[in-house]
Amino acid sequence: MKKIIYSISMIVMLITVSSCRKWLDLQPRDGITRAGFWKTKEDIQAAVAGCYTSLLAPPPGVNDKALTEYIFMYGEIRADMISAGPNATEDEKNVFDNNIVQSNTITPWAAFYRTINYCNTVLDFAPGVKEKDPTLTDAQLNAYLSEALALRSMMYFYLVRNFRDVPLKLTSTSKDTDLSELEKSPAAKILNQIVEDLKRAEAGAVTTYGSTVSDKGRVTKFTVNALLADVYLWMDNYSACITECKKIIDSQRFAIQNANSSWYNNVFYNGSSTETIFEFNNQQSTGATNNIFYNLLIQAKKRFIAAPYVLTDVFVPDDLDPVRNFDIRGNGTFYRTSDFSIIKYGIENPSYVNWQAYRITDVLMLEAEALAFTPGGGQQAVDIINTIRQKRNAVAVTAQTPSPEDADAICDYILAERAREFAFEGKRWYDLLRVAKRDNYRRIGILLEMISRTVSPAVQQSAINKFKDVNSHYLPINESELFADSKLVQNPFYTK
Amino acid sequence: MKVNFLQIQNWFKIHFTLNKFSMMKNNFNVRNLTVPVLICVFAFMFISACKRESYTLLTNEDVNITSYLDRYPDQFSLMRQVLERSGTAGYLDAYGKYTLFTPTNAAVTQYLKDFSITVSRPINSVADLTVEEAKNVVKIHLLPDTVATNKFTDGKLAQITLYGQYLQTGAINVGGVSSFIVNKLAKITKSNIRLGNGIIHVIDHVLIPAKLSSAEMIAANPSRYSYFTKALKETGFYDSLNVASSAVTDTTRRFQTVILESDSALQKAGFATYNDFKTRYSKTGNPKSHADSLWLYMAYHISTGPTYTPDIITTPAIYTLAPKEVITTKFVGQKIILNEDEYNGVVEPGVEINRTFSDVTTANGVLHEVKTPFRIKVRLQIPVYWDIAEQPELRTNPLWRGAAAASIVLVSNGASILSGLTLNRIPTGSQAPKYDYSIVNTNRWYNANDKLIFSMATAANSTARNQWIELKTPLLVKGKYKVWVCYGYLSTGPATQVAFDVGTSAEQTLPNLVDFKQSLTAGGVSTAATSIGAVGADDTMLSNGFKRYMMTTAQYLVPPTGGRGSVPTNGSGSEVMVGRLAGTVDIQTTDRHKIRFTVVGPGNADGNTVIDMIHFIPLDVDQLYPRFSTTGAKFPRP
Repeated sequence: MKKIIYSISMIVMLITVSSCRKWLDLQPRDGITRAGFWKTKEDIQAAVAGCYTSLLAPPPGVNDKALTEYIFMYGEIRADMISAGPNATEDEKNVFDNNIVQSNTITPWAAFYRTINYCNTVLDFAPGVKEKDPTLTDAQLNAYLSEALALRSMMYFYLVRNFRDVPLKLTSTSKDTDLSELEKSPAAKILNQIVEDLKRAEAGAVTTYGSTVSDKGRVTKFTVNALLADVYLWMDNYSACITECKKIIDSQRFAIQNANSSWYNNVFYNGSSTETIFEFNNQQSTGATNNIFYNLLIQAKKRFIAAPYVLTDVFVPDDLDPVRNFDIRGNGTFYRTSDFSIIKYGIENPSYVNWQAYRITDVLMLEAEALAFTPGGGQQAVDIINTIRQKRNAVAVTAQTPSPEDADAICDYILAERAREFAFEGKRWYDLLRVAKRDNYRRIGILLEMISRTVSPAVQQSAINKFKDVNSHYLPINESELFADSKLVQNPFYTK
Repeated sequence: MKVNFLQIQNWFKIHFTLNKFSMMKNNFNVRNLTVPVLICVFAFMFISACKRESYTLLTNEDVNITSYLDRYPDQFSLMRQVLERSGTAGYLDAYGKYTLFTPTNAAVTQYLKDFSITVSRPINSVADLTVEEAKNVVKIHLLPDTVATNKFTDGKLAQITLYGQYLQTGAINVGGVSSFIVNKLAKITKSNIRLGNGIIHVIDHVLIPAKLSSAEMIAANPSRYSYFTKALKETGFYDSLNVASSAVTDTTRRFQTVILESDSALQKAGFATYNDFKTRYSKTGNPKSHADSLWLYMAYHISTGPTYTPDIITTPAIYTLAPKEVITTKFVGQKIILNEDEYNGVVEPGVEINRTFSDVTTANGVLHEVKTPFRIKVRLQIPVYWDIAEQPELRTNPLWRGAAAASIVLVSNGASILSGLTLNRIPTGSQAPKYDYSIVNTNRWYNANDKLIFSMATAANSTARNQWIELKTPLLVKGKYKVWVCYGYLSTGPATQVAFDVGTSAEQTLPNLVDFKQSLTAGGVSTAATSIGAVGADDTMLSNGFKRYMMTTAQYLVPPTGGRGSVPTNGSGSEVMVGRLAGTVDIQTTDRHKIRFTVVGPGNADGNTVIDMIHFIPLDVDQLYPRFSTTGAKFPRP
């Protein structure tokens, strides 16, 4: 009897214990799966916020540089406004010397595609929420989709300008079966896709989120217009560029601030000023992400410093009264002459100064450049430059007087003024390349002259000869990408 | 799986039971065991019938150089045969670090055709090469280190080939397509192929070692270098440039660099025939004599070592075979300019290297050509009044002598920003050396209103400050000079010892200490009007090794310059601008030299060493005048 009771109780116990089914449940306990996500409009908002966050820092567990760091390096190292600091890596010095091989560690594009994938995920799954959350309006959904489209276009625009032909991935990679080897798409196809996406984004984007910080840190209609203007100018579509610029300027929402002692603080240090159209927001109010620039530009062993060219040719002091009469963008705000440190992004550690992606002056100068190549637009272009110069208190030494009929001279003036206005904002290389490549590389001399100044004397002749090959203006696909995707074909310049 | 598991369970039960029995009865029932064992065997066979997984058994799948060539016979079979023929195939498939420039089959075929003509015997295949010839082909293509294309420059590679000749790299653009080029001949068609024991670069031409010596190479171009060929022969340099580098006993002369002048350039310079050229220079009648100017002329065009154009750019002076004569170098824009020097306030135009005809590798050196002839300049010793703030890097800075007072820190990011300034350490903050430019002066008056300020101390006092500083002088013509250090007196100043070219065979230490806390009163005068202001005060000070170097308020510049000096003739302030004689230096080569100030005595404060000028005045020239002014104007002896 005892035995029977014992056996029964054992069996009962075994059954009850093993009736717990959880041990077969493979749901992670520290995260949310897709099945549990994409249910409400708040989920979409969270996912879109993730896209923005990916601009500032790599996600946890990913050992990579921040996207902003790549954007800064791609836009500046190959141009002439920064030099290698004491802590620059061998690979970075090689880029300065135009000695790039496919194993160079600044060339991986993963950070860009990571953000693209986040955007693709939103674009793929957000529309499905409509069925589950009745409070999600069409307008709201379209606004979120526009943000993702605009960010994705921005990433592709960076890729096209740096690598020219890149794989075009428009769907998310969210499960193993989504992984596929992609071929490169020609730059023209990607640019067309960008234009198409941005037009879609423009239709859905909001003009305001009701708060200044959000209006600057999130994609608005004007962000889309600014990006579109930039893309059109890259494609040499001047009239379309002017149309987009006009939309922003005519909105009357943006203004150039006056040149006074608080200008730098308003526009850069605090950010979200009336000048800004779109910025990567690092500020405390939005969660405080340390921008990467202390290590790059400020600490004792910095990786990059301002090039001597910045002092001798870009921000030339006034020859009469440099103490009272100075460009507000030069010494003391953007960089300091004492040790050539670039201080535009703050000198504190940590620093939360935002990355300015588009400011109103950018749009004005994009318009000016397009106008210069529009019959009868030359004078207007010069007027725009002069307005900006006046607002910035630019000194007379740096003034030029191009003839309104001479588009190239106006373009040179714009290049010089853009160098001052967007010093160290990761735009210089694209400005030079855009002007040089226009009309089938009619002005390749701009790049050849630039490279003869920037590289080490011992490799100068090689560097010039390399730059005569237009393929060399684009970065190689990193060897790890080639290894991962057998369909990729290396830029022919780098196989030789 | 499930079935198997149950089977094993069953078997275990039986087995266990059996064991129990066997333990009790000590009787092992084999027949009962057979069935479970058989089941087990089947079960295991069943389990192991799963698909076989292929594991990587090697840690590295990279092949070595020879194996790589084997893999692509359509491209490299001929080079592979050359390796085989030369007996290096095994060696290049073993562990090591090599760079092999690998010609394609087409390139080797072409080479064999060309080589057949060179050696005038039929060579139809690699087998027709002798082992030695094949070895030489391999040797000139092989570097004993891994060199990727990012190490390529406009000149020679840092590593020498096993053949013993340097390879010269560069990039060319043909029809809009750029590629690397080796020895101005072979284009790289595929670069940086990483292999287990090195790197391969595929090239479209076989590299051919230079067979001709420098002398032969020059003589082989009689339409261009007939003057130089004759001159080299007559001066005897032809023979010294015609020795194979392996046969040279003096290791410094294994490679020599010759800077050539073409016939047309010499004709343009006024020498219609070679004889005109010879008679212009050869005055002794024996061009082989080292005193003959033709010998010196040729010696001045030859230097030791393989100096390619990037080496010329990076070295400030080329030391020639002409005793104590150097060629100074400059790099402006894209031009390499020789002998552009400032002498006596005048910039003498230099001569430009003709890059098209330069960097010609020969068996024992390298040849360059200049666009216009140059020769040793007979220079007379002149006094050099050097304002040490006139540094080239500062001149390009708009703050230098600009419209407003300015200060430029001379060190940045752990290095001096001036090529002409070396420091024993790089101080930071207020201890960093700086350029200082002022406009309004009340108690110190410097030449052109600027000076360099250093913070110096002995190592015992402060290791954060500089123990020594070294400045590169302007061009000094060989001869003896009195060296005057002109500074602004400070009571915290250190005592320093002045030395020239420290660490070289020409090192010289000057006898007098320059003590920056000595004012002119150390020269045996007081600030009284009857002392420093009196006639003869200059002589008193001179006899003690001191002088006033700035204009006094009693001295006026003549129009149109105009203006009056700033330093009081006597009283407070009259003694603070000090010229101190450090001693006499014997300059052996006409070149830019290095002057070093080493702290020997107390002095430990920020900015305690304020140097304005350094005067190098030949012994037979007036030591007291000219004086200088805050406008930078010179005031001659009244």
